Amino acid sequence: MKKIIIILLIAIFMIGCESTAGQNQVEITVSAAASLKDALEEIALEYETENEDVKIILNMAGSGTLAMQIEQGAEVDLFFSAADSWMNSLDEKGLIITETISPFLSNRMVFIVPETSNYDETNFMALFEDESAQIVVGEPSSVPAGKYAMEWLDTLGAMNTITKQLVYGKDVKEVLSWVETGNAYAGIVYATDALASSKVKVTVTSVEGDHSEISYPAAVVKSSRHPDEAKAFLDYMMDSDMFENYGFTKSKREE
Amino acid sequence: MDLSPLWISLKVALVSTIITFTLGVLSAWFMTNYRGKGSALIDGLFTLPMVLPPTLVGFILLYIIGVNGPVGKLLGLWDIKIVFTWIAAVLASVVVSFPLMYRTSRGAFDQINMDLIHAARTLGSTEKEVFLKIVLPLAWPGVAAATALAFSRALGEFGATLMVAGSIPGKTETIPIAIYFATQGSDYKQAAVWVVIVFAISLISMMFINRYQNKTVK
Repeated sequence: MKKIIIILLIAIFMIGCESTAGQNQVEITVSAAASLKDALEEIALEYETENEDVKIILNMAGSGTLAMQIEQGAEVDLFFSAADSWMNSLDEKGLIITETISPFLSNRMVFIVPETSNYDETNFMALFEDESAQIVVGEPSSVPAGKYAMEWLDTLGAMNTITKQLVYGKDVKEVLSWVETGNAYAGIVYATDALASSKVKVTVTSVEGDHSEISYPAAVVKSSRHPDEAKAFLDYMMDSDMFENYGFTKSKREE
Repeated sequence: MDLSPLWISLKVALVSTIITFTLGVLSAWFMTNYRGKGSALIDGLFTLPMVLPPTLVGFILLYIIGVNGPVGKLLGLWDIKIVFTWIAAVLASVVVSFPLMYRTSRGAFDQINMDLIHAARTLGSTEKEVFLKIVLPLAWPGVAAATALAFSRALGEFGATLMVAGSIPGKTETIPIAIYFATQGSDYKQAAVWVVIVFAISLISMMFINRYQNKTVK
């Protein structure tokens, strides 16, 4: 009896191996900033149905983490950063195929409060006068959303009072969840994150000049084993309208 | 260089180790003697935080002590808010280091010769006396090791801590959080300094147990 079970297990294991290694699928690993998660998942699924020989593997994390992984030799085909700085620093180190860098998405920042909050677009500035009102943003030196948030707070003239109110999160999703759960009075996240959440309301959206331009550049990584397939997926994404459904704006493609 | 993460880390780790020590040793002794129903289940629950992902622990904690959670609401009646304070960091550290304290102490208690305990009881010692004068001294090397492990774990706690305490420079930014943000921001120099400091503290506490155990064995 025992022997039969063992043989069966081995057989199942071998069948399992067969089904993944047997087909001639090209696997493309995409390292992308966490804020792109929902949109990318949908677009990857769509692409896989249209191109059955390609499998997209998504590796979502903060842009800083992703850049560090690529620097340390992680096998990545496409890099999709939430800020130019990470892309540029990888490019300077010769890890990116420079011609493929495409700055094609943009985003806005929004100042959010919990859905149940008494604050809204008329009185949110009063938050900056209450020292006990904690306001959450991404950690500015490592989270691009935090950097934009700080620039925006500066434009709003809130810098003097705010140092005592600020709490830093490790990424923009964490900031969002702190506001959603009501643990923070307010927070600054991307417009796309606020759009996807029903538990927060937007008091104000940033306009041009409030902070440096938000740009999501994507590029093929030099060590990619399938640069042509990766480039094809990149082109596909650039032609797709999927990102707009999730609140991103498209930058004009530089020719 | 701002040294505040060091003091915050030490403060959080020390306070949480005191709490973990008390809770861990008492529950370990309780479970050593417990013969009732569901002992395997309770034992599993006590050990669970060790194997759960820290982010999950942080998530559960945030929902319990958050302003809309059961404990958070209760404390709110007195205008107390623990999320985003160093107390929240202590709580996170207690939860993740408790299993180490509990497991290791229990192992030490199980090694004790039960005859000694029975003898003390027949000679009229109270349960409290048995525990303080017989059990704890006999199990001390193991309990000391457990304490050092719990302290080191508390010192290294990152995921759950960040979720419930956030990162406020000078208030809740511990060394692991400082290291994380330094590496993320490509400030490797700063990160390296912290790595050396954590390395030194952890190594000292581990060496402390070794020496201590060797002495007691002799």
